[in-house]
Amino acid sequence: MKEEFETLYEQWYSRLFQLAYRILLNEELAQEATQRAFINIYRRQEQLSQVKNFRQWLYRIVLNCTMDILREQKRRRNHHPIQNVSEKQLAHQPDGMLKQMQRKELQKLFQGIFQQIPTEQRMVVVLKIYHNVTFEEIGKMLQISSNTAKSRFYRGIALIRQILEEKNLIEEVKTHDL
Amino acid sequence: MTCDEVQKKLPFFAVGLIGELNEEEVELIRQHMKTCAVCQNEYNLYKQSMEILRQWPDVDVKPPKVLIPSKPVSSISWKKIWKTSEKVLDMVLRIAAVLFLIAFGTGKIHFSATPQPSGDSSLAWQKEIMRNRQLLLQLIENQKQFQQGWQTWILQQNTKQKLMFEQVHQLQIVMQQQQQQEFQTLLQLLENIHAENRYTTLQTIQWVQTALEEKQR
Repeated sequence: MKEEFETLYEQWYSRLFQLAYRILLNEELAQEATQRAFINIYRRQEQLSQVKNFRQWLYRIVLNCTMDILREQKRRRNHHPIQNVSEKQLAHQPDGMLKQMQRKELQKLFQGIFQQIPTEQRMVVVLKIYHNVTFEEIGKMLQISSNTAKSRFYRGIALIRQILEEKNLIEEVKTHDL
Repeated sequence: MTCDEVQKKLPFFAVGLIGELNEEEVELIRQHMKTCAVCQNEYNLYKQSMEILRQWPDVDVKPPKVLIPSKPVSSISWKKIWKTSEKVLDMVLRIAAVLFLIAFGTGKIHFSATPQPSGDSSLAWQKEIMRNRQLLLQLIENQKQFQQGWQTWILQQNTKQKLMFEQVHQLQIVMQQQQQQEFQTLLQLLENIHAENRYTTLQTIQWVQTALEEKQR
């Protein structure tokens, strides 16, 4: 049982951490959420054999932990605002330049963008884009219908597009390659 | 398809989630965009957005080392704790009863800490002893009843704990003093503890003992 848990921990830690990080937008908090999730998983080891959709089960635990942390942060009112990349830095930043940006700067940029997306939309966008989860599964993980998941995704993506446009990171082009 | 209808589907279409749309819808969107510059533009903006989103790198992270307890936390057995506590309680009560009965029965109640009262106060003292003796005996008689109450209590620890803990601490000191035949403090303490609290206090003894044993482990 102990070895099984250790293997699971090694295999899933990073993936679950990335999920928590993209929702919480803070490394320390993401670490806290992932640790809590694994404590939870450890306590529920006996359920493991009965779990039908393992990824869904794990993600749901992590999502619950991230939501707990977000609630705690809200209660304490000490949520540290993420330092955005300055507007100067972003102004007229062509797409190609993004690739050259340092990893840290990229993290700050995306933190800044996602900070502006409401949490419920952020969760769906992150699950869909970075974890390739189906809307049906997202619905089960967040206890919402798949249609609600789709609608949150639509609103989330539309908002991201708008932010990117405002930051001049995307621009209108006249041709397309359909 | 109108522009509005197409644009509602575009985010899914542009981010490569064609699977979320049916074949007919996909075809209609394609046809529409061939002739609509506004929707073409929308499509491109979503597509660019998606390309940018895909550049968000993962954070470099290694799983921190964890100390896994030998047993899952949920496996703490209340039954085991109760059994241990039961033994401790039994021992405490036996010692108290034996010492008290010996002292009281033989009439050799003599307390070194306080001079024995005389005259009227001696009568009051005798009454006090009687009252305390009854209390003690009652405690022993009600042991079974107490045990049932304890099982419920351990699941519903309340805010009185701190106060009770102090009482227990005093009791523990008294228990040590008992061995030196200093019985007076015990009697005083029993007198001080209100009848309503007597079970709770002993319950606390068990709680403390268990907590200490757990800590030692």
